[in-house]
Amino acid sequence: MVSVFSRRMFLFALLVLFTLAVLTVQARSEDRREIGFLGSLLVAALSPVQAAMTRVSDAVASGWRSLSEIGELRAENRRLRRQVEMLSEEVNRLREQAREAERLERLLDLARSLPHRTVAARVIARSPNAWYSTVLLDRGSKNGISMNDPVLTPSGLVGRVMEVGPASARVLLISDPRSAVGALVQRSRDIGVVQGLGGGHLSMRYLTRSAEVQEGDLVVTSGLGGVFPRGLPVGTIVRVTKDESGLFQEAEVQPAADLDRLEEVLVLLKGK
Amino acid sequence: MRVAFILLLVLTAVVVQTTWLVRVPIRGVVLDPVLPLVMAIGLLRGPEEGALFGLAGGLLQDLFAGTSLGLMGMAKLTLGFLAGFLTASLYLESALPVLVVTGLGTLFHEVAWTSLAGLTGQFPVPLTVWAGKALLQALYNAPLGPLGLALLRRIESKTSGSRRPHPVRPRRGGGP
Repeated sequence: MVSVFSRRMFLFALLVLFTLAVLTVQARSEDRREIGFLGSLLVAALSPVQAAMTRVSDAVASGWRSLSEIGELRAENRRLRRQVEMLSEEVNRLREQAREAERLERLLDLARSLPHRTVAARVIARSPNAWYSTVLLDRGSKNGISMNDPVLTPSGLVGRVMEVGPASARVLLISDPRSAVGALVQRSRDIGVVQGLGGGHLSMRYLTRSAEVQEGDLVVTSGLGGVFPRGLPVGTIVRVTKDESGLFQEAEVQPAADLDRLEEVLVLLKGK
Repeated sequence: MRVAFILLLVLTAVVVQTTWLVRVPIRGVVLDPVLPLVMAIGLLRGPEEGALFGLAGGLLQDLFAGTSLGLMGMAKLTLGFLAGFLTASLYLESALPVLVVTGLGTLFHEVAWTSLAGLTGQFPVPLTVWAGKALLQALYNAPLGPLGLALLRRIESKTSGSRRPHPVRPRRGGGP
């Protein structure tokens, strides 16, 4: 047992001495490193292996980088998409607000130019029927609205109030077949009646055969009948039909107000 | 045959460390697979082989690390030698003692090679920084101890058919 221990210690001491000798040589060299011929040979032999392994690790690292970059790009893409959606919503909202402000400004200008008291109202519903054209407003008798009050936009006449509730009012549009508006051709002063044909179309009837009506003429309310005040724009004549055998001639009228896209309107409080 | 296998294993560990592991340092500390391997050799084969393979592995590390030859060589020579004496008192079938001994062995190794580096004027790192890195190195190396031991046992069983290591086993004419 003692001899085994002694042999071990001898070997250990030998190895330590050898290493110390190597270390001493190293420490005395200029760069504290002197690998010698054997070391150079070993390095030269193993350098191709190291190069190959480095290439493998380079490829793995590159693949990993690509994968992580893809993940990052996806995350960034998602974030940017969300941002674009958010900004688009914001732009749409602001655009909508700007348009509404523009419409309301025009409505206000109209209200100021009229001699009547007015109430601005928002269209909250419209008739689903294709032929009968009515819209529901968010203002009613509490706001002073009464039956037959004329309704208009800055572009022209819209219709008249046909039903009134405390907080709502239904408007019969001039394009409804039940509507008839006393009107005159602004240029020639010929009188007729503008009737609704349904589906957004109007017809000016009872124009005398001698009336000088032509396409492009502006039709305004005549004030006859007592419902609509005089001079509100109704529409523009787009076609004139003259029946040779008949007593009257007839004209197709394009409504001045965009009846399909009503959003805010002005109600003339005629009775007050 | 067995010696050649173990030498190849040590060489592979050095090359893997200097090409791959250096690219994935953990908090600035690179895993040292040679150290647990040298300790496992010492634990399984005794102080002589521990010292010899320790010296070989350490010198190879010095060679490829660009440091003075002998710094790691001396540290690992001593570590492998001392590990050989633990065989009788350590229960090698459990991973925990091996793990703890590998951690402590790493600390010893760090102290040994940095002392030598200091003696030869090659220790520019502040002591506090060194202490932190040494502790981290011990923490990271410790789990490799049981793995190194298992790997070495596998090689032993493949090359000699023996799974029972014995540091005082007769070298010639004996064996199970």
